[in-house]
Amino acid sequence: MVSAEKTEDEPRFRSPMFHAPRPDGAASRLIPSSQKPAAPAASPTSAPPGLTLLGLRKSFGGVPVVDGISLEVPRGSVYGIVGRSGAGKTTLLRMACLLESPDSGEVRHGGRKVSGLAGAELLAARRRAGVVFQSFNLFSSRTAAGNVAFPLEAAGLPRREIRDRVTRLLDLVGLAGMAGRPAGRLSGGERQRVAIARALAHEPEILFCDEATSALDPGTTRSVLELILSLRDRLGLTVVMVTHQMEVVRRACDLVAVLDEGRLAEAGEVAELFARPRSRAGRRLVEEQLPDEAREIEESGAAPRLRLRFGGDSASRPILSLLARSFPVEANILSGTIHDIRGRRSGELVVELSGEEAAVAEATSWLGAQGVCVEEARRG
Amino acid sequence: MAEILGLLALPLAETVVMVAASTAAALLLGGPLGLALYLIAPGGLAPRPALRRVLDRAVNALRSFPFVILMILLFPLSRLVVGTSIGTAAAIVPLSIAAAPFVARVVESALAEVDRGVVDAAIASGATRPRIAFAVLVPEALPSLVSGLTLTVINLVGYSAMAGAIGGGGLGDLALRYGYQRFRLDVTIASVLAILALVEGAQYAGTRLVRKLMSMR
Repeated sequence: MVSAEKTEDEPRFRSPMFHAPRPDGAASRLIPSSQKPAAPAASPTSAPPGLTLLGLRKSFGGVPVVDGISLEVPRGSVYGIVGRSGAGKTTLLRMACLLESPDSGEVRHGGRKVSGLAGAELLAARRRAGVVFQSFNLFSSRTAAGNVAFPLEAAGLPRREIRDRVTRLLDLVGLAGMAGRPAGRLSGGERQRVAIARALAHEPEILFCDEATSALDPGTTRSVLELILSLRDRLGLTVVMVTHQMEVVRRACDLVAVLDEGRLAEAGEVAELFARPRSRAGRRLVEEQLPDEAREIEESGAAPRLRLRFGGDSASRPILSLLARSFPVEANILSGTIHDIRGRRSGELVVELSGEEAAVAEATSWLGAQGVCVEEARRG
Repeated sequence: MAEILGLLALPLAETVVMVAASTAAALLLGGPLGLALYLIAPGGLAPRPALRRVLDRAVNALRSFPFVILMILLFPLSRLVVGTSIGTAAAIVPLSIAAAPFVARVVESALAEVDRGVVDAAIASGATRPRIAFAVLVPEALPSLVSGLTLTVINLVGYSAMAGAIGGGGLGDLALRYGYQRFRLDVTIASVLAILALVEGAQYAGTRLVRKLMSMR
């Protein structure tokens, strides 16, 4: 909804705010060759990647949490970092966004080494990277506008400029009318939008999202993801998102890294992970995802679908192959599950029956006669 | 009745002055101490574990000191600061010193209640530590700080009555010397009622202020 609104407003976002050359930009993007990432994937001709992690390690109380992870996130991509809880993904992200310092290894933002910085350089590097958190972490003592203003105040910008920028930022995330609302009186989705505007206050090149949608309901999750994607397109952001929701990866990410016990299990294209997970951790994550995805396939398209529930006897017989042999119809299975409840099977299939209308009707009533519970599969 | 009101007026004013001045001084001494205790704690914004242990012990030691003894021990300091060890002004010195470690704990625990994630957000914004302390931590903790300070004021009303017993003036002094020693039960009761009214008033004002702050969020 909001993103559609925003597309109409497109020209406004070409405002100088996000497209004027930044004072440090032009120079700092030309990385001396000695500092180019040594990672094999680095293409020698293109601009440096948005984010480079080299051999990051971190342990807490002697227990390695991140155990030697190297990653390269192409500029302008949305990169998912997934794994079960305890896999080290949040720690990895906290090191990447400079909230935590690694025990060893190196972090580069747009080719610039940013790990090991201190003082004013560290503050400046943090301003060039936005961070969005699971629990929003807004300042409850401030309004929506006050929250977005904070990073700008911290950088000592003149008050008038802060006001202008805050207005544009709130507009950017679709909250133009909420400026004066106390942070505590915003809905979850609105809070995360304010948090995104706050994270973008300094026009960063990278946006880090730590489980940014995990506290939101599915609808709000979708709209926040859409916002992040449209911001990526409009502002040329590199987005790194840690999540345990494969749903988020499927919807929003171009590339994905799977972490397992502090190590990189696999990394690559999202579609590739879903089609051919190469690691055990990757397979586990994809399998957990199946039901959700199947439900979505069921809901898409206009053709009539049947949900067949088998129980007892009918679950043990090859009903569908019998059906195909007895009637001039084809059954295309969209999704299915079988439960084994103390030796008794019960199953559920969603199928698309194609063929002559009369034949389909006949086949349907035959199914009913076989003890199969037949119902129209509609969204719900 | 008029006589009793007349007797109450000056001691009441003295108590109010003692409590107000020592609250302010305790805040000046204990506030930064509490902030420091929070900041230098392990895992804090500027961890200094060794220094923190020392400060922690010092605060505990000072808090466990019986006030009457502290007051006597601090006579020389009072003489040094306000030129005398008797009277309302002199009592402000030990009152402030007794309340400062309490305020430090109030401030420390109020700041510790601020969600660590909010602090992370401020750090990620590229803010300096002083800015995080004064533009994030203090405003975020303000309701807790106010209720903690209300407690401080109420404690100081009680302490100030004790200070009165050794020449500090105020309502405690009135109750003791006029009421108890001259067998004027009515004066004792009037003093106690006045102290009660002060405590109630402080609690009421504090609660109102906290509610007001919360309603703006």
